[in-house]
Amino acid sequence: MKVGVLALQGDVEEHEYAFKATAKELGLTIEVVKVKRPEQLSDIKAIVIPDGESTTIGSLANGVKLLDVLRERVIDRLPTLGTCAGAIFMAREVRDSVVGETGQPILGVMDIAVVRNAFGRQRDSFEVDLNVDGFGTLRAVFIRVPAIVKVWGNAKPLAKLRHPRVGEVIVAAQENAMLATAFYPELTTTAMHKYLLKLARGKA
Amino acid sequence: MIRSKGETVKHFKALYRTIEELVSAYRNGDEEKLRDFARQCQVPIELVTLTAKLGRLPVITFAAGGIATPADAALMMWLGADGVFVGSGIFKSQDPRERAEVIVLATAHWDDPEIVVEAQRMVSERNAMMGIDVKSLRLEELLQVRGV
Repeated sequence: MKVGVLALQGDVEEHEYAFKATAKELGLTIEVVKVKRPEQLSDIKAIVIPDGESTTIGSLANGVKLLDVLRERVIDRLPTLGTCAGAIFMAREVRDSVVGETGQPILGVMDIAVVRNAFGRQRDSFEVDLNVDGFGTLRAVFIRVPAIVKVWGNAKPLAKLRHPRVGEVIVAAQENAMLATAFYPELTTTAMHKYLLKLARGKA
Repeated sequence: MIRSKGETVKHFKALYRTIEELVSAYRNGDEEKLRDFARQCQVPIELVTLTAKLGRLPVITFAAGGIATPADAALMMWLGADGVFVGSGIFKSQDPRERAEVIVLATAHWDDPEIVVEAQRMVSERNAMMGIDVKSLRLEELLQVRGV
């Protein structure tokens, strides 16, 4: 089975590693495709949109005509996990806590609204044990991440966090086969990749 | 995260030559060699073992210094960089805006020669920052000896 990691920029290797560790745990044979061109999307069964710099990922995806093809596949229920910048990339509504409107190229496929840099700058980074619906307690790392401030339609919040700067916000959400997290599961757990592989095999 | 500075091709080659030696020592179970290397560099053995196990530095490694064209950026990615920093290469060029865009393009698609060639064609070599030949530098001008 082929699974993909959008590999234009960001923590691609960490997700590749997490996918491989997950496959080993489940006794599956998978091939991880580093997706940089639209034609690579045709035969993958799941995709991760990693963290990075969301505007950079969007511009690069647009430049190689990948954005529209990826959007079609995600709408067509390709199991998709977006972490941090990946969550921003999937959201229908994006704002930045410093610059406001971003006008950046995004997928805009998930019924969530995100605020970039919601928890402050790098030095405001933190880690917490987070209870995520359906995934149990996960160690969650927050490094200059966005917050999900609103979900609607079929999107459901999976985890919430109370934080002095932003109050109570959503930090993980799901809509059908789409998962979005503000934090980085790839650094601490294989739980989310496991779920993605289950969805890919039609067993979730 | 760590970055190179100046003489960057030379330094990345030296870095990965060393890492390859550590990797083969690790695979052959030559712990003494790893220990000697740790002692020589005055770093913890755990860090040397981790580097040997990963086959790369355990932190994000950027290339910087003298990168002035899309091809330069792609070359550094081939040499094992996780990314590139480009300062003067853009700001001292005649076409900073276009150059920044194509360097980003070539860095993201470094392993796709067609795109790198296309990026290279989108700007003129004549507008690039003039590089400094490493061979023309006096010994005291080399970054590798500063602060040693």
